[in-house]
Amino acid sequence: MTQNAIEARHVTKQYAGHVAVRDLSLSVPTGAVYGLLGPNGAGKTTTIRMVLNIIEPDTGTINVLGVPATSTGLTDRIGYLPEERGLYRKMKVRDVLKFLAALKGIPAHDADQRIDRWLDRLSLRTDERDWGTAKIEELSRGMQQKAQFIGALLHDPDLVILDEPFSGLDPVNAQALKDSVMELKRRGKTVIFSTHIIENAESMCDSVCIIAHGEKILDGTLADVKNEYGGPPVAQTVMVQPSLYDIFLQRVGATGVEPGMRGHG
Amino acid sequence: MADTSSKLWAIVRREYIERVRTKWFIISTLFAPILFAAFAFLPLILMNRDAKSVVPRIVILDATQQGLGKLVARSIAVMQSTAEDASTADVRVINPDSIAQARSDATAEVARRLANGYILLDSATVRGDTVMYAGRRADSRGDRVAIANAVRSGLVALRLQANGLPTTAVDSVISAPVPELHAESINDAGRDVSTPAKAIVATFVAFFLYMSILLYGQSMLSGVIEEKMSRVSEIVISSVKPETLLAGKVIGVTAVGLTQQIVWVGGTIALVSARAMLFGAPAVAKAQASGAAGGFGSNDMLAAIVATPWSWVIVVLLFLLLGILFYGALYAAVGATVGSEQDARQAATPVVMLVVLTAVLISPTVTNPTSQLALVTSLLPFSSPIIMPIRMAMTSVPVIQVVGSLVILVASCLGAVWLAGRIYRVGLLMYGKRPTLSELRRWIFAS
Repeated sequence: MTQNAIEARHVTKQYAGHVAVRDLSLSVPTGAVYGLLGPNGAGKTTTIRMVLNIIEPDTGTINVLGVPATSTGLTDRIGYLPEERGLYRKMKVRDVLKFLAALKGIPAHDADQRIDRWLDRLSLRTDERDWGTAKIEELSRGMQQKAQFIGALLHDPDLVILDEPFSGLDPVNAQALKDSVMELKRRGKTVIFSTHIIENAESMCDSVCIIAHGEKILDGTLADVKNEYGGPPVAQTVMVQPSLYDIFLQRVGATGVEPGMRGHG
Repeated sequence: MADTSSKLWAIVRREYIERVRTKWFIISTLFAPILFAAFAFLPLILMNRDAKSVVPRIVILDATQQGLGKLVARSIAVMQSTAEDASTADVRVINPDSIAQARSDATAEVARRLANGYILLDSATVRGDTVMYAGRRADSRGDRVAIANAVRSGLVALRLQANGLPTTAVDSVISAPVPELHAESINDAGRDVSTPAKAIVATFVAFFLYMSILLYGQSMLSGVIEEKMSRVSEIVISSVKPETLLAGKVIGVTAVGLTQQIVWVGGTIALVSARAMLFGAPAVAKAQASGAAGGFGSNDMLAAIVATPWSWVIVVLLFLLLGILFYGALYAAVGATVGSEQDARQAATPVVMLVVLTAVLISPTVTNPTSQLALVTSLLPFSSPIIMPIRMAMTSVPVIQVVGSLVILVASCLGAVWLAGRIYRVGLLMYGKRPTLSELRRWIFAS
């Protein structure tokens, strides 16, 4: 499919007193892992909220998955993990996930099966303990984040938007999430990362867009961006050693490390 | 693809289930019927105790030598005529010289539970000065009043006999029954149709309406703040419109309030019915007539509850539902504008003031349900959910006023939900300082 998952044209959003996003145009190819990079306050979250139709742009147009962002039913095809994490603290994990699934139109019996699969996959259900029956407030921060990640993916969305998904995660859990993202990519889903940790973007993204002060600085495929901003090639000999990150993962016991992946969570 | 209504339903269901599962809800829901049960059963239990303890096996030591003992025994029998286990007292005519011995014997009988107590009638009793009673329940006010009355009746009969009235005439005097008292109050305007019992019921209902609106409003406020602070609302509004989330919350909370009221009303009616079945209708009627055993007019109140027409109950529930809806929307709007529980307390003050102002009006409305103030406040949406049910309980309100009040309230609910929806849409994503009034205006009227 050649159509872009997101097509934004000349989008501007202004709040009282300041411009959050100014004349932003970007194209996110379908099936790509796309990095939305920029410092805090750059306008990343505002851009994401406009894509999700949580807020409307003052000017410009946004098409998502081939239809205008305001289209009815579009939200059922999008998964969203906001930067600020939180779930209903007093509710049981499974009940929260079923609620989030219902908001995406997944019936309860179907949701249960999906929840089982995801809990197993992210080690929230083991022989010793089924965290699905625990209340959210009983979970560690990392586990809560995984539960929220599951909530964003339960309905098997075509477009997944993850706002700083790895912040606060230990390397093992970060790797589990990265594996899930790569799995989504393999299945042809489009993933958008918003992050200010560049190593993560470099290790996972096909394309990136860097924004600052509400304006686009550059965008394109990672290779193009590197070529454009890279210096002349220099031949050198290096001794290949495992990184501390690799060693940690090997010793702690994470599985499924993507070849060539580097960086911390 | 899920439509809006199924998503709305998911929100309503979550709000409802999570709230009715809380300990707070379960305790408060069960507490009210238990309180009513106490009101319904306690007077009857006390009265049964009284009836059973005094009547049977009371010993009358008659040292008057004028036959007062027999007359007192007759009087006791008349007083207890409605009780199934009524039995005549055991009259012992004794010589004034052997009072000490007779008392000692009677005391031993009471100690061995052969009798409940004894009455000593002597020359001082005949003079109308004193009568002595000793028994296991000598501290019971009901017992003491009943015995004193019986002795007085006996004395009246004795004096009539002494004045030459024939025995048959004395008999008819002494067997005159105690009539049931029907009380009616009169105020400045003449006969007052609003009985005290009605006033108590109306005040109770108004109080529960006030408590429900305040509690469910506050519960809505903290729910919205929790959702906002934990950022769950951002996930939810990436799936549904903020207005849908708000509507779902308001409907869910209203349904919880309605559930509680139905349990309260149903539980109370069931208990009152069970009371008549357990104790028998005559006992209930007797308890209602008896001031001594009833206390606080609770039996009159229960009688008033039983007499309450269903149409009134339904109208009250309707006002409650709309009241929670109206205030729920206002509280939700407040919740969306604040960033913490502390801020919320301050920001909610105007809304709380409206509820409290209405509570202040409860008493004047009960006293004077036809005043201009009562009329106006039973039409204004912020006070009508509490004031109109009071007026309807106390006096006959023209149907046009009730319908008018409901129409105004429904329109105001729609307005409040619309207003709250506008504020909600913007407020949920604002985490900084509280908005100023002009900012709020911009939120509401921005496209």
